[in-house]
Amino acid sequence: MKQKVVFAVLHKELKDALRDRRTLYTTFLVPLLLPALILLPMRLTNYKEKAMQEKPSKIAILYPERFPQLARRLASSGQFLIVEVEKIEWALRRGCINCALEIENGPTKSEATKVVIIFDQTKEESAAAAAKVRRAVRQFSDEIARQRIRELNLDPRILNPIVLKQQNTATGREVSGFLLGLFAAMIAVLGAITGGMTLAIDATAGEKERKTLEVLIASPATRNELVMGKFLATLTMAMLSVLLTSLSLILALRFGTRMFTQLGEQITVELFLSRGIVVSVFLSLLLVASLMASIEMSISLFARSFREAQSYLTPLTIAAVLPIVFMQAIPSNPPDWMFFVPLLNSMLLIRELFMGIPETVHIISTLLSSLLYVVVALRSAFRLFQRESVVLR
Amino acid sequence: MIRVDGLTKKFATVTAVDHINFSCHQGEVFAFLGPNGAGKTTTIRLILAILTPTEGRITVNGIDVRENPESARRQMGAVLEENGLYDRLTAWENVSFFGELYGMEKNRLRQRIEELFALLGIEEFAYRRAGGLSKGTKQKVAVARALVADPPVLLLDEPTAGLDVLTQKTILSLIKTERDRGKCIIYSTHIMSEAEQASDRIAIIHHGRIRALGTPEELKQKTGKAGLEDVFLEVVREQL
Repeated sequence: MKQKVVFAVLHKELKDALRDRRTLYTTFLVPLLLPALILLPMRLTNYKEKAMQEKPSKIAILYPERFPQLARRLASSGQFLIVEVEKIEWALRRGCINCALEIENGPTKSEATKVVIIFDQTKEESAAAAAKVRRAVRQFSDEIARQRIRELNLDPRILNPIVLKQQNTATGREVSGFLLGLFAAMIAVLGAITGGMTLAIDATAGEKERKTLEVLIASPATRNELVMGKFLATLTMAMLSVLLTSLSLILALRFGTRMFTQLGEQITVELFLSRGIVVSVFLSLLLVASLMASIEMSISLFARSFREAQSYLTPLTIAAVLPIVFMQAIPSNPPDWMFFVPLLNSMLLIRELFMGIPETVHIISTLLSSLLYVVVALRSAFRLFQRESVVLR
Repeated sequence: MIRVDGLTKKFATVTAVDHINFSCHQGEVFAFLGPNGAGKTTTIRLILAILTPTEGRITVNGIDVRENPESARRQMGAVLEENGLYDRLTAWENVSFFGELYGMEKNRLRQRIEELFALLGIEEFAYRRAGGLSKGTKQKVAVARALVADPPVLLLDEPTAGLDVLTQKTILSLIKTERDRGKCIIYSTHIMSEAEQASDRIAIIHHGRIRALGTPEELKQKTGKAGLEDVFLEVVREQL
C-alpha cells in the first residue's frame, strides 16, 4: 500500500467533504449544538420546578367550615392562594385552580379527618400543587398528633421509634463521574457514530451515483489504497465530530453546572481529567469511530445512491443507539462480559474512567476486542471493494 | 501495446463480450464502432481491469491486466462514458488528484497541468469548480485528467458524445496529436464519420463479437461499399 496514494485519497475526500453542506451540518453543527440542546431542557426543567415550588399555587377548599383550622393554616402558609370556584373539574381543566382540597368530615378524637386532594396529573403545575398540599396537610397532621401526645403527658418522640440516616459511600468524584461518564459516553459515542456517516456514504454510494467511482478505480491506485484513504477520511471526520462534541459538552457543563440531582441533593459536576483518562477515552472513541467508519462504508457501498445508503444505514444507527439506551440501566460494576460487546464496552469504560475506578482488565478487554472488531470490519470493507458486483452495482 | 486474446465477459446469462481478439500498436488509433449495447464499453472496462474477464487474456505493454492490474493501469489513461469529475473540486484539483494517484512529483504535475490546460484552452476554468462548468469544458477536463501522467495508452469511451462541434474538433485533433506522439489509442464511438476520420483501424462490434476489422479502406473493399455507414449496415445485417 503506497502511503502517498492513500494520503492523496484522504486529502481529496476531506477537501470534497468540507465543501459539502451536508457533511458540515452533521460533522460540525450537530456536535456543537447537541450537548447544549440536551442540557438546556434539563436546566429549564430545573428552573421550572424551582419556580413552581416558590410560586403560590391556586387551590380551592371545599367545605372549609368542617375543619376551619386546616383551611386557615393552608391560607396563612404563603404557599397557596385560596380561590373560590363552583365547578372543581371545570376550574382544574381551565387552569383557574391548580388543585382542590375536599374536607369530608370535621376533626373528632375518635375518627380521623378525611381529606381528598383533587388534581390533574397530566398538568405539571397541578401535580406540583398537589404535592405541596400533601406536605402541608401531613405537617399539620403531625403537629396535631404531637399536641395530642403532649396532652396525654407522653413524649412526642415515641412517634418516631426509628430515626433513619443515610451515608453514601461513593465519593463525590464517583457520583459526579457516574453521571457525567454516562452522559459524556453517550454523547461522544453518538458523535463517533454519526460524525463520519455523511462522508462514508458520499465516498462510496455518493461516488457511485455521480459516476466518479468507476473513474477512480480505473486509476493506478489499488482498491485497498482507495478504501484506506476513504476510511481515514471518514475516521478523521468522526473524530473531529467527537472533539467538537467534547468541547461543546465541557462548555455546556461550565455554563450549566448543578444540573444533575440525586437523592434530592444538588451535585456539582466536576471534571477529573488526568492524562491517562484522556488517552484511554481517546483510544476507546477512536476504536468506536473506526469500527463505525468501516461498517458504514461497507454498507453504503451496496447502495446505488446517497439516499439508498441512508436507508440502509438507518437500522445500523438504531442498533448503535441501543447500547446507549441499555447503559442507563447498567450498574456501576457491570459484569466483565459486557466489556466485549461492541460500542457498549467503550461507553462502560468511559464511565469507569470518569468515575476514577477503571479496572485494568476492562481497559484491556475493551481496547483489544474493539481493535479486533475494527480489523474484521475493515477487512470486509477491503474485500467488498474487490467485488465488481458490489462496486459497479 | 495492447493485445486481447479470446476475451469474454458474461453477466449471469448475458454474454456482453464474446471471444474477441485484436491488438493496438504504438502510434495507432483503433476504433470500436458499434450500436449501443454492442459491448464497446464492457471491452474498455475489461482492458482497464474495472471488470474481470470470464475468459481470455489482455496485455498492456506486455503486462497481464488480470495478474497485475495496477501496473497495467499505470500504462493507461481513460475517459469513460461519464466524465466522472468531482463537482466540488476545481478543474485543476480534479486533474491534480489523478496525477497524485499516478505518483507524479509535484512540480512536474503542476507543469503538466498548465501544459494540458493551455493545449485544451481551458486555463480560465482552472480554478472553477467542476460542477459549474459546461459539458464541453467538463469533457476537456476529463481528457486532461486522462493525459496528465502522459501514459502510452489512451482509452476513450465515446469521448465526443453530446458535445458541440468545436469541442468535438478539439478532442479529435488531440487524439491525432497524441497518436503522432506514439500513443496507442483505443476509442469507442457510434459516429461513423468520426471513426472514419480519426482512426487507423476499425473494429465493428455487434452483440459482443467483432464482426469486421481493418482499416476504413479495407472494410470498404471487403464489403464493396463506398461509405463506412453502408459497411456497418452490411456487416451488421449479415449477422442478423
